[in-house]
Amino acid sequence: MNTMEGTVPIHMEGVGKAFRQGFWMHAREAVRDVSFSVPEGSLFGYLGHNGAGKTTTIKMLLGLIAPSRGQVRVWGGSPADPVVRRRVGYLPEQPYFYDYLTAREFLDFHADLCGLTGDSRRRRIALMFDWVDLAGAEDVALNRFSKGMLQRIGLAQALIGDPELVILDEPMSGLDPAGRKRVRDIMVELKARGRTVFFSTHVLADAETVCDQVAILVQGRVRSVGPLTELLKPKVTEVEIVAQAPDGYQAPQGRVVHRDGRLHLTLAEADSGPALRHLLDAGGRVLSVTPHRETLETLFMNELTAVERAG
Amino acid sequence: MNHVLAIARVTYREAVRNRVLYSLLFFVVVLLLVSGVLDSMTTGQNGRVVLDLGLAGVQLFGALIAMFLGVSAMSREVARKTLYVVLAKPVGRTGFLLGKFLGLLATLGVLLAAMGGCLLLVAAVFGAAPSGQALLALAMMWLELGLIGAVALLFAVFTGPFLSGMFTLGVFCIGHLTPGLKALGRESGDAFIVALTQGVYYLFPNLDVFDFKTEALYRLPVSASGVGLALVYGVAYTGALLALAALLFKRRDFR
Ligand SMILES: Nc1ncnc2c1ncn2[C@@H]1O[C@H](COP(=O)(O)OP(=O)(O)OP(=O)(O)O)[C@@H](O)[C@H]1O
Ligand SMILES: [Mg+2]
Repeated sequence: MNTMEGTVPIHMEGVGKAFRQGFWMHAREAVRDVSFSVPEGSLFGYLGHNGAGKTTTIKMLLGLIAPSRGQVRVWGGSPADPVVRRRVGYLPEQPYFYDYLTAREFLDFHADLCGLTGDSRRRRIALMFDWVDLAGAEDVALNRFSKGMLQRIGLAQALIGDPELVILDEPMSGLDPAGRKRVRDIMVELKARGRTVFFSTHVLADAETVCDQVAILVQGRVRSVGPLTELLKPKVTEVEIVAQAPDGYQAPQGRVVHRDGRLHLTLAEADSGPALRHLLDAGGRVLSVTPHRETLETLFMNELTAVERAG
Repeated sequence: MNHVLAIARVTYREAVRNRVLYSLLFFVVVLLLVSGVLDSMTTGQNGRVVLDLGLAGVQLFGALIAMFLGVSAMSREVARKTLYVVLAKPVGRTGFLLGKFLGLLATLGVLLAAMGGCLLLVAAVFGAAPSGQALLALAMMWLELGLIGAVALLFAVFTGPFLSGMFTLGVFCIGHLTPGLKALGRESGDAFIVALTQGVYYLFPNLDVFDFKTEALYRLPVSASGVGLALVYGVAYTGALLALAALLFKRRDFR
């Protein structure tokens, strides 16, 4: 291990995971080819549809399952090593916790697991209750918690040891808009405090607003990795022109839709100049010109169709 | 070490908040009452029937509870996925397993103390004053229950709760039969059968080592070497079981 490696929160290289199933133990590949690095201090989104392999990847990052091939490095070490996990916090996909404990007993327990003691321990627990808006619910048993409350106490146990890397598996699933916003705010706050945040989601809008980097996972393969702006920018290619055109006007190129007596013309950015000139020459009146920036959604769909066409 | 104790504490807490446990304890109370009735119907027993039936009952129910708690301590964690967040913390798998075992051992100790206390009380009411031998018999039972709990944990690490329970029950039964089996095998004279019964004898735990019921019942002198043997044997065997369980647990995927 060189000194550089020790500062990279997550590094995966050619990682695959096959699950053996059924009587004949047929191997099914949940993750086929995953390579990416998460830079320190970033808020990293791991995007993929249901069943793409997000949870499988995350479990490998915590040493809960071992990769079938490839290399998984967390802070330069193996996640199977408890010393490495000292610097990691984890919120699982569904909040499964000891539900016979009260919220305080539960956080007490996790503070013990993180090796917190004395005064700092007490302060940290109080801070967590505050952070996730559960102050007042300390003595309620977890089996009486709502889904949203469970998600929040889950977040609290992930953060209790003040980890430098926080791994959250679909942290916003099942939450109402206010809850989603709270989780988003917490993630942004963690980043502002210099922590690295890695989270998975299949809701692209959740990633679009907060992530500075994403990896897109399609059927077990990471297809693109990078800063959102870089992934999206070169693909801003289409322009929509809305105009009042004379009757019987024929656009030379692009897709044409007539709506409310207006012409909606969508075409490649490069063709937009000539198209506008043609329209004006024909006596049309231009109402608006809107460049269509590619959204994460379209990028994601493109990746998916590319894979489906290939396979 | 701190986290091992934390896991032990939570395991203990889960066990004592489990309702199944109390229904099993209820049977022990019923058994004590029945043995009291039997005792008063038999002349000249003065609590010996209570002690006899009671010790056997505590042992049997204790073993059932050890099986039940040992299996559920592990398989509930896996089935309900509660161990994900625990194993994701700076906790080694061996530490987790050790914590589970210590919590189980503490639970069994408290249960044994409660059941044994009731037993000694009822026996005293019927005329059998508590003796050192009775206390020793109960303490040795704790060793046995701990060993059974370790067997249950070991099975639950690699197979489902039903099979684990059945296997553990099997080990418990064989563990009490092997000394007899070995003697029978020797009597048969057949070389193969002798080898087979000896193999079974040495592979499975010999649970009769922990049995001091007779001493308690007739207040016989206790041999120090018998107690020492039981101690060393129990600790070594349980340790080996846990080491094997830890080895298997380390390789396991939690999906
Ligand atoms: N324990 C398992 N045994 C066999 N196959 C599994 C197991 N867990 C997951 N899989 C398979 O691996 C693939 C990836 O699953 P995974 O849970 O990682 O997806 P995901 O991206 O987290 O999906 P979701 O958005 O639904 O949570 C799926 O096809 C799933 O059927
Ligand atoms: Mg998932």
